[in-house]
Amino acid sequence: MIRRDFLKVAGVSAMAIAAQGSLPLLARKPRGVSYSGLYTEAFDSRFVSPNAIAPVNGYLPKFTPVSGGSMQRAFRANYTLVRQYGQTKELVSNNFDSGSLTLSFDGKQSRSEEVRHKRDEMDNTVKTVVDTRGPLHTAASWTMESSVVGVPEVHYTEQGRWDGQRMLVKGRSFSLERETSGPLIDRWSLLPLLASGKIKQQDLKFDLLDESTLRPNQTLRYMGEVTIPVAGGETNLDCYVQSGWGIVPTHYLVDPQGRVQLITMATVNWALMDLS
Amino acid sequence: MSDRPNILFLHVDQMHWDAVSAYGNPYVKTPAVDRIIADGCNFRASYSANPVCCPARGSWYTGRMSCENGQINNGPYPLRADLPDLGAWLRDKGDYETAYSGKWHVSRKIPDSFRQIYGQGESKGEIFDPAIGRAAIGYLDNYDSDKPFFLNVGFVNPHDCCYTSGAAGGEGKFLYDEEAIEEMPPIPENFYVHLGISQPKDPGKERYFRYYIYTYYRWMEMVDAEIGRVYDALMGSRFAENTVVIFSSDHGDGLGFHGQVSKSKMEDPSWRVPTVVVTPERQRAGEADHEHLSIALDVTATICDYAQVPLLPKTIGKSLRPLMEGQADVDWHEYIVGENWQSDGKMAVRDAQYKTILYGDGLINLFDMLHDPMEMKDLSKTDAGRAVVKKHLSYLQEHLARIEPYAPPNPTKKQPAYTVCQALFSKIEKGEVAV
Repeated sequence: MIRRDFLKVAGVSAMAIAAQGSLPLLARKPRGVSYSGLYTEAFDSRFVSPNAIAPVNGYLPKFTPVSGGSMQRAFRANYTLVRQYGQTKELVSNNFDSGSLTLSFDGKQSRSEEVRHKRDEMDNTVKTVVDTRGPLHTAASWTMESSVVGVPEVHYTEQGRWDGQRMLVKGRSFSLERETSGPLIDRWSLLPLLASGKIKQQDLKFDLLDESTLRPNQTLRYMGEVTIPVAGGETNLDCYVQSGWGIVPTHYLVDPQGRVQLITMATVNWALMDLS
Repeated sequence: MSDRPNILFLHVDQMHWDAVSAYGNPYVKTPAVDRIIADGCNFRASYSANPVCCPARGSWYTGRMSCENGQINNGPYPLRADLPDLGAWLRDKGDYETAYSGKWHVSRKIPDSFRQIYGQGESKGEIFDPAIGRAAIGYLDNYDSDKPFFLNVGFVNPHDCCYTSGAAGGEGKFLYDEEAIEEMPPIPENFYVHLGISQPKDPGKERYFRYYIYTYYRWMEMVDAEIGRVYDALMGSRFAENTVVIFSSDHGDGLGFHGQVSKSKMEDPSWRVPTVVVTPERQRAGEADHEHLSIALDVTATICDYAQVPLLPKTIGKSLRPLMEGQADVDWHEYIVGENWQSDGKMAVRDAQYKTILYGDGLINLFDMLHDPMEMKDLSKTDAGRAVVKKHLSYLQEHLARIEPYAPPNPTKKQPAYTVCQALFSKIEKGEVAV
């Protein structure tokens, strides 16, 4: 089966196949054998759909892709953090809203404000402003501000810059330096690159600036088209995967107009809510 | 300003003792942990007190074995209320500012003993570890007290390995990710030997485990990035010259060794942990100490020692500080004992050469850790092996005489581990273990 065809075995149809025990590897197991706890203490048998949507396949039937706006020029976007928390009895991901992300990009500067909710209400908010340059929107300089609700003594701001070989970060009382291995690109500056379609033609090798954390040696590549279940039916999206140091494979699902509708990791996933 | 050093206790959750690149593991890159190892002494023969989250942590914070402190297993096993914990101890005895960021997993409220700067009640690293690190960095960046601080940062990863996708049943998962991944690590050489017994070959299981190992190392790298940010923020600050750093893990992970994942086992991948001490003077920088067997209670004793406060009451832990300072004739452990009270329960004795694992169902394994570090050949049925096991049983009796096991008066049906523990202790104390 070619990759493209395989990826189309998705969502509800794959669940139905899985329920009959007919997926290839499943079929090797005797019926009645429970996979729960077979190899890990909290075994997530997310074999019912392509990996790209596995962490959110329980959420997708409620997801309506955004149809307006564009990420190919200046934009503002809001995402919701779709937390993945194990599975339901129906063998789909158990998801709930766990935060928000507001992004804007004007062609040169990327701004983000991310809030991660926590059950004890000690929410963490991170604001970043990244000045970019060049066709890859590499990070030239940035500020990051972090705060925790109710804990003023951990609020801090750091400034960073990248000179093409090293990133330098300064807080009020510390400074640190990291060597980079390739172009340094902020995670959210990847969105206009994905929207442009350029990465369909050539893999992108880069270092990721992830809220001021350096994750070197990343590869972002086009994997093909995927059909996924959404509210009211199905939709076709281009699937890109990022792999590299310090991340689990991260998938970006992009519609034909270049809107990054979904970003899936594992417990952290982002779904586009609106775009202007 | 106090002459007591600041203390940064960095720990991770479920880290296999060798999941670092510092010693040549080619499948994971951990530049931050490697820097810590280069700056300090790595006690390579270190072990968890009880390789499951709650009891391991309860032992860190009370300096007592889990069978003593009540928090004997995950679940409804509360710490004894009468025992002090490390945070309150340093705060009250050493006038430390104590702050906690991260996963706690001890049956006592963090604010009872620490300023909770970012607590974390859920064992998920991807979503919370960056915030745990940022809170710690912010704390360092803003700290302006004349008191020394005890900053405790409890990262979660690589514990996210407990929530990996279902590759065991997932052809789709495999096909998809194998296309995204250039190379998956091989299975370990002892993959098909568990409890000293050869297991049947299973290609499907191999594929699952190779993917598991691959993702485990990514979780490790993910937390390494956060460790690096905190460690480098400290080392790039004015506190670098008067802060002791201790790095460890609550327990290990099977990581495919013996065909196992997860914890609660007394084989090395689950039981053994990294323990690194970095002093401002960079004592023993870059050294790997294989000689001194160490148990988690020693971490507690070490922190107390550096803080210049008494050791926690009735601990059998020993401070690593004299070893860091190169003192001669340090009175050190001849053997260490670990325990775990899941299922039928188990205890392990490790001396300089051998490890005995005594299971509650009667099984005994003996491994020669010098000549068989992968624990593949069970020697317990040999004549020489029986002699070693008998010696280790006498060690266990001695150990039980030194500690004060806790027996709650009325354990409930939801607390079977207490009964399991007492049953095995009784057999050992009465000399009823059949060798």
